[in-house]
Amino acid sequence: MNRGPKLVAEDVADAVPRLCDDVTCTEVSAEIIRLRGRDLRRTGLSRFLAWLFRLPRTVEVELDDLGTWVIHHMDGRTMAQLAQDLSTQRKLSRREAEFALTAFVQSLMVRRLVRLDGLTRSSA
Amino acid sequence: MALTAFAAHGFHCLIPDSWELQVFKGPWDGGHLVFVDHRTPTMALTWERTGRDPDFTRTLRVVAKRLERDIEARLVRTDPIPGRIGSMARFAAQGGEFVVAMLVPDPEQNLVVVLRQLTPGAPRDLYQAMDSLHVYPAKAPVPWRFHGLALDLPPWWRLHSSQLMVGMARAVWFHRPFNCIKTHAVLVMRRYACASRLLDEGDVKTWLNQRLSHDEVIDEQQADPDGTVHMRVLAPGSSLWRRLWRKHEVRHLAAWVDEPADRLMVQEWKGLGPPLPPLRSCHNLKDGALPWQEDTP
Repeated sequence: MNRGPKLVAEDVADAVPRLCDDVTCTEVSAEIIRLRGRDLRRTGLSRFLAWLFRLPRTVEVELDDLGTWVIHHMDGRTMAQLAQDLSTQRKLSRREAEFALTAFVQSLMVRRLVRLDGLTRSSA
Repeated sequence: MALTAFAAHGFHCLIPDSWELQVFKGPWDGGHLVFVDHRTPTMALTWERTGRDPDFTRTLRVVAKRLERDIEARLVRTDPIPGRIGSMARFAAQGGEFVVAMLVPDPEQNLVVVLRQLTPGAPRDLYQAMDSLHVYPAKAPVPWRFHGLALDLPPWWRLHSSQLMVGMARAVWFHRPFNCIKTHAVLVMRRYACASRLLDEGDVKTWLNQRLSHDEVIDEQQADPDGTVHMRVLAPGSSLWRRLWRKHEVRHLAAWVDEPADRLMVQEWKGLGPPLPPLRSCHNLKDGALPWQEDTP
């Protein structure tokens, strides 16, 4: 999995996180959701290996209540605003919330479930 | 303006509540740190313990050279700091004026502190930090207040490393009496965020039990009325020789919940002699320095 460069909270503060267009969001319960990405594109050999090892065709993750809260609040707020709201809700310091949120968003970005709009080229 | 105490490596000062620590590097003998206020660097602090008399002229020359190179600042004037050993320099740059203060807070301690304003403007916060700067003698208890950790340690505990990670702040201290090379004991403090989520309506004892390694055995366990859980854990010897002689490695764990902040604190101690008690309470440094305690372990 291509993880790309590590995101730094200061660089992505003004970026707006959004779910990717082809991601489906299923509510498992009131506080838990499941995100399902599009079918993975595989070339001939990797498609054969994926068939051989029964690898999943899509990326699917289940989020806990904290992750669900973040996804539900991705309504055009910037990362800085989301971190501010998260810090208020979870009694975190601003820096702690930024750290946690950036790591969470990056983990979803590498799975192509979330994208960051307004990310400058240097930090992308 | 609300103030909070920052304390580390044998000194403390008061800073605005909104400031956070971004850079924190260096051991007891010398290092530097940078405070930020909403992502804007506000003040840099450098400390150095030196056996010789501080040469402020040389320090000023180095600082002036660096500021001229970085932000094209030029030295306007220098003034002595009233009531303190040290001097204060003003630099003019494009954005405004910067103040750099170099001082020896306590003439009996060989600690030199340099405070540097990183954002142009009124240096009120720098003056506040400078006025409240207090240095502790090497043989005295020392307060530590950073990354949300707040504890008062007996003398000769030296911070080895500290990390602010996702959901946790962690710091490691080594006990080296009289600055000897050999480490007598190790202390690890962990501060987990979202304690209520971590415990998930369970108790601290169960949580701590689940975190033990599969080859560790609980030797003693008790819970205090205030909710602190103590545990003495035995692990197999760390070397083949110790395992042949059926020696065990002993860890002392203490855990409690800081309910107002919703944090789970875990204290781990390992070493020679009696373990440290749970470091739950600490002094309020806004009221002054720690009282001198001779009867520390």
